[in-house]
Amino acid sequence: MMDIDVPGHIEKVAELEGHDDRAWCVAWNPTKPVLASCSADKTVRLYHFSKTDADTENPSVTFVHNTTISTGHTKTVRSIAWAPSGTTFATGSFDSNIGIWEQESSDEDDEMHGEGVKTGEWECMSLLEGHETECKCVAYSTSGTLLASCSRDKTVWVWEVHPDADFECMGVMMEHSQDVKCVAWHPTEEILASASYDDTIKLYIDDPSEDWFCFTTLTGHTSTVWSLAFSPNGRYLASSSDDCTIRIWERIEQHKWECVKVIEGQHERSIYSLSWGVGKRRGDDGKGEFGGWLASTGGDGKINIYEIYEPPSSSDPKGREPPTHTLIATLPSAHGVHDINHVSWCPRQGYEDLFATAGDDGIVRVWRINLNGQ
Amino acid sequence: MEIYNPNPTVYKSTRPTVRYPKESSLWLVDDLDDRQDKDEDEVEEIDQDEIFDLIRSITDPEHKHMTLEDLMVVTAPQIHISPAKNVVDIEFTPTVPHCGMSTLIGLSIRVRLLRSLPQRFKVDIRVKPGSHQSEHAINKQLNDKERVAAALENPALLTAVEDCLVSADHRD
Amino acid sequence: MTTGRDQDIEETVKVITSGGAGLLNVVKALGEYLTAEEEEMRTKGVEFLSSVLGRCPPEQFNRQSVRVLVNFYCGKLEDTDTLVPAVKGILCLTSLPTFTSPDAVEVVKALFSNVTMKALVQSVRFTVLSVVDSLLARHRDALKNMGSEFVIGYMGLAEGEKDPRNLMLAFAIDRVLLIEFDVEKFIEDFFNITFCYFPITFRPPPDDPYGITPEDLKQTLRSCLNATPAFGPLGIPLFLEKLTAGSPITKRDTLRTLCSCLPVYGPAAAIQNGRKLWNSLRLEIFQPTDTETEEEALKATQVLVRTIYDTEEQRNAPHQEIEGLAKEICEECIKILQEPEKNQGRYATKTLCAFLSTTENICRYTLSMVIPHLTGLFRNPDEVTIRAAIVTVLSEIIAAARDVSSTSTTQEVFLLPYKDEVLGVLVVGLKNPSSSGPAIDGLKSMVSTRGLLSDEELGYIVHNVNELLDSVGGSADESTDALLELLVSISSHSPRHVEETTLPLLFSSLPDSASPREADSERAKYWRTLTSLKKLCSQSALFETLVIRLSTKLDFICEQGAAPTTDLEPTAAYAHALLHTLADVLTSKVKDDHPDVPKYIERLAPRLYNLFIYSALKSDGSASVATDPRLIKVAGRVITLILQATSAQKQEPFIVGLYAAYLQSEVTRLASGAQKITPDQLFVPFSPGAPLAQKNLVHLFSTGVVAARKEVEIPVPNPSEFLGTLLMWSVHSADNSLQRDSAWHIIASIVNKRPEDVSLFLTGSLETFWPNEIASSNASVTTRRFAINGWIWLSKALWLRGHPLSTQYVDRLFDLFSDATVSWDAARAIGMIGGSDDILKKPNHSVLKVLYAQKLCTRLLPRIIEGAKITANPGQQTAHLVALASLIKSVPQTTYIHEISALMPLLLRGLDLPDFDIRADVIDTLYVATEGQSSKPTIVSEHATTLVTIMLRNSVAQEMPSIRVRTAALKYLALLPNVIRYDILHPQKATVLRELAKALDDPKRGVRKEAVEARSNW
Repeated sequence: MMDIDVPGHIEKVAELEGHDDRAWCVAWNPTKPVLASCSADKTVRLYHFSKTDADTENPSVTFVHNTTISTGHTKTVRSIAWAPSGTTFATGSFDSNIGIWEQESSDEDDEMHGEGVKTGEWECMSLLEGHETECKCVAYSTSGTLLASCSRDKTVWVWEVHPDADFECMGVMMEHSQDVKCVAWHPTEEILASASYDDTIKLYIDDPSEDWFCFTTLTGHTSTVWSLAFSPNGRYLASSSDDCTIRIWERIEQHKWECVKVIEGQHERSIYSLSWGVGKRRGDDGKGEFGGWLASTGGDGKINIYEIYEPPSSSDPKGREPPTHTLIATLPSAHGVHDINHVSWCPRQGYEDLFATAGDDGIVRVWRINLNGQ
Repeated sequence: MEIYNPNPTVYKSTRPTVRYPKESSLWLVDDLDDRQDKDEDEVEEIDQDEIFDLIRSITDPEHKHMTLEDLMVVTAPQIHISPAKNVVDIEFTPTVPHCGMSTLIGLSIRVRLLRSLPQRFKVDIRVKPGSHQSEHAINKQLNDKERVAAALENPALLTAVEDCLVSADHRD
Repeated sequence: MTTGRDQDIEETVKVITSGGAGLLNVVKALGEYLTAEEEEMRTKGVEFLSSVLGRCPPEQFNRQSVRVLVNFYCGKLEDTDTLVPAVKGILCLTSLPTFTSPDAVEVVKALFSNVTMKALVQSVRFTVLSVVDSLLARHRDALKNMGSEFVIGYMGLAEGEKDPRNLMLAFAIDRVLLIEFDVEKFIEDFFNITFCYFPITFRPPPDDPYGITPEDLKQTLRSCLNATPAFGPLGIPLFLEKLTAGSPITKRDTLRTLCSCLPVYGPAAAIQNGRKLWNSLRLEIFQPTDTETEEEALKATQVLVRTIYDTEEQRNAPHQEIEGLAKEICEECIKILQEPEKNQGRYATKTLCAFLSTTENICRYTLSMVIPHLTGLFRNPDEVTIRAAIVTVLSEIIAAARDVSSTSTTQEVFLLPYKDEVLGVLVVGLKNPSSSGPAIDGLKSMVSTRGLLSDEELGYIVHNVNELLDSVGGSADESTDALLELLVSISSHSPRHVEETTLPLLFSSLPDSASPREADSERAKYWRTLTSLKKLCSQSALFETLVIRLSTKLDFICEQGAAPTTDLEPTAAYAHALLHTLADVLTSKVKDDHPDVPKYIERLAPRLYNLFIYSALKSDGSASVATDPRLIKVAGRVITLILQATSAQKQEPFIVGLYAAYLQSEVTRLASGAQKITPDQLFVPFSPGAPLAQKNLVHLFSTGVVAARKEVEIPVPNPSEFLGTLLMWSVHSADNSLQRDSAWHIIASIVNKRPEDVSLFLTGSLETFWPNEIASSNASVTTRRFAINGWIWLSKALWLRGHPLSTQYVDRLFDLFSDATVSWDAARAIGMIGGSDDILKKPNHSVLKVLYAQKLCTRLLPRIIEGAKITANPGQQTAHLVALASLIKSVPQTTYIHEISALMPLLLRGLDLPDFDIRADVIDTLYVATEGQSSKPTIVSEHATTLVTIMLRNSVAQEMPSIRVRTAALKYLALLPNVIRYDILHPQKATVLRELAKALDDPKRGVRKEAVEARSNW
């Protein structure tokens, strides 16, 4: 592996084979030690993980395949997302439907797996129909009361989550001129972002009196925008594109976002996925407010990890500075010769340095950032 | 079905050039039996001609009795490889600038290479600059892996592609 | 088996024939039955009578009895219960000499008035039609005289028939009526009862017992549709409709039918519908659904044109006066040829070419239209780039014109008037790379048109070709090849020009000494020159020059003796290339048995022997390339080729000289040439301690012997002794495989052709050579291996001619299977005996019994299969597997396919053998077997899963170093999906595709190609 002068490296923690076809997406369960992945083979695979020697400095984590769910989707399962509760997940498929999955409680829900991991069968509680063509992304809002989805039919849908897997469509946004690749929710407020093949990003809010509406369009990317990620504190939005750049947009007013940074030259092909985690602060070196770790990956098979520092926020536009980014770790051909389609940080306490990737080789890999080079 | 180009220009198919004995060899015909072993470990890199050979016999979706080569939709010089980066760049030329079949042609080329090139190669496919009125749209589609993946799950489209590919293996 | 009734019938027939009872008595006797109340009785009665009649010899029926029977049966036709047997009876009567025309009339009338076909089953309807057919054959005039009554009556019978068997008959009858009867006023009705069957869509049932094919029906129906011109006005519109509507199959049927009908329907009808017809034909030609239909359409067009124009006044009309359809079509095509480079141009050209072979007038006319157009367009084209296309079209026209001339009765050369301008265009086209290809084709066609070009014009073409060859410096591309082909076809008419102008040009570019190692480009240049010469010089005159020039050149460069230190490799390579060229040309000449080959036994062979023996004898330390084994080999090829073509009586003296040289050191009779061999230099290749250079020349001894005819005697006092010594020499004295092989080849071909001369040697080898040299374990392994190889050649020579001793020789080999040191060699030997080789073969006049390989297989296979099963001794078992692998690959699959189920498991085990060649052989065998099984692939299916896994293991470079094995394995994988049911393979699909993806990255281009094919098949 080529040696770039960066403080950390990316160590492989686990290699999870099993999909018969391209793996598209991975999702960490927010409340239980569970990782989910979906694939063109129309299945979803679930893995349990646990720390083996928990008390040591770098405890090692082991993954065990738990179950494989044949979703019944008639085409590729493109996207998977956990509800904040961790008891439900949604799947978006090229067959244009969205599946809502819950685990039927089984009697021997022992404590063996700890943290109340159940063993019951996963069932499709309801199938949300409405998109006309491939559904490409699904996302739950932080509160868990809303589910967003997008499709090649150029629309973005917002669904309200009711008890017993009942869903009500709150709005259909027809803002994009081409298919919509990705939707993402703001971490603290009910702001929805969507990225599209039409090279733009759009932000939406719910007008109490009216319906959901687009309050701004972010332009700047010169080709398809593939992925979106809000910073943990919600101050920034990162976007990645087929133009091989990452842009960082800052919220400078209630309803005003502005591009404050373009990260270029880090990837040679489409950047398919971004994930912005809380990260681990390395010592205190007065770079300002630690803004977490941003991970990017894509068609060149490379994984990059950037450490982000935020300048003190200032009200006056003149004095505003962009956040700083430092490449702290990078790994080429992380899935051999294959594209990497998705990257995702583990959201759980104590696992901040853990993330997973899904590749065209049908394999899911879990990685850890090692900063003090052991 | 709409006819886009009822009377396309036909070109003489150029058979792949005859490979003479290696320049390094002294012998016109090598009677030495160890010849093969000599070459056992010599690597023959995938080149322009080989990739051209993979796609030249694809049937043109509009003129079922002609190949992409007959119509010079694809030619060897329009193929570029950077072995270091494992990137293959393929340019093709629709017979007419309004040809509605261009996406299908491009898709056929992509699928053919998907099946017959080593996975290490990343393939970019575009129409020859200025050869099509909606050049940008076509290029963007052909190189959007998500769109391609979805297209190949569309039975109608897949059959169309397979139709173009049946002839692809008739390579001599 | 005979029922009770059958016996009764037989009995009765006997009685009648023995004159015991007249037929009529039988009728009387049956009376009560024939008139009985109960239907069944009556039926049975008449049935019985008819059966009796059926078996009575004709002489039993006198006029009166026939009369009565006719009456009787006609009566019975009115009675539905006796109708069926009655018809049978009548059919018997109709063929009798005593059955008269009045009878015929009475019968048909009765049939018409009583028979309603719809009510009858196929067999009965068939009998009815047979009756009509039989009457029509024997009493046609009587029926004619019945006039409309008969016609109407018959149509009543034929109408609505569906069964193919009956239709075949009905159509035949229809044709007769249409041609011979007065059916004018019924033409519409006939149209309805015949054209209603067009197009035939009948599909015969699987394993249909009557063997009536759709083609039969189509043909017979056509014979009705084209029976009368009267159908024209009605038929053509219907054809037109079918053409526009129908499926490709219907279209083709329609087109073929049209071709058979139009000439009958005649010019009037053709002219009247000409445009309509052309409009639909044009569609099939210019937007072809498939080539087959396209061709049919072109044929139909020709027929249409012929029908219109192949008439007296047309024939006499001067061609300028061609008017109407032909003119229009011609003009239409020429208009399209304004853009000859376009797709439509192809079809226009095809149409015009088709026109040429319609009528001579049309041919002249078409040429007078198209040639000026093309030449004109060529002179000032819209863009120069389209010239290539123009020349292409022109060439196709020329070729078509040539074919017409060659078949034309008048021998008229239609192209003659345009010769000069066409030649002009082609020569210009020749000079331009883009158009040279088609131009060459055009010139070839001109050259091959009898009586078109004069000798000077041929010279002119050659001259231009030379210039071109010179300018490209013979850079080897397709065009050079094409140019050479052109020259070849010219020299087949008149070699002079090529000989006088082209050859000198080429020879002059051959260097007098080899270019040094690093001079790649010069080397490449002489390679190309030689390649050109090779293509050019098989015509006898040219070949003679070639032989003289090359052998002189060869002597010259071999003469350049050099210090042993200098690098001789380039010179050797050059000399090798020269010899190789001669060998290649000879090969093709021998293949096409040119009569001039034999003379080179005096002209070339001696020079070669002289050169090589001289060089071997050279005593001054200077090294000479002519001692290089690689040169010796190719020289040997030349000699064998010459001998192959030579008669026994011409071989005789040569062989004598050959032996004299090698055994008595008398080289003078064998060798003569530039180099002087002085008497003091002794040529003694076989003497102990002979120098390597001399011993290597034993090869040229063998190449002289192997093609000797069996009539030619062995000029040694004691052949057995000679072979004995030679065999021992091969095992103990020979230094290298070249020498050993040569010795074995001599032995093999003598044993095969004249075993009677060496019977002592044959028995001796069994008694002493085998035990001492092969079986005995105190002999060294190496000599034993050599000895076994010698044995293979012996056994093979005998087996091929089915010699009584051969079985003993072959069986001996099995004794070695238990001997670990040589068991593999023995096992492989088994296969080599069955396999073909380059020595014992027809061209070398070897004696080959038909099916020798099969016989070997039938004899050995059971034994080997048994042995391969014995697990007791693994060594032996492996040996048997090896034997199996090597045997099977050397024999046609028909010889073992019946054993395949027993073989399969063994072959699979064979795939674990460490030897790569054997593995590859096994895979190839499996391939052939599997391919052969494609009809009923059960056995393969059983093992499919295992096969796939094994093949995958052998197809990826990381795991399998041997290119041959990888290629074979991939070929096999590519085959499976075509042979095995999908559901059997499906479970492995994902794995296979993943593994094959690795093979796609194989370092070898060839292997990758197979991988691609395999993967896309999966």
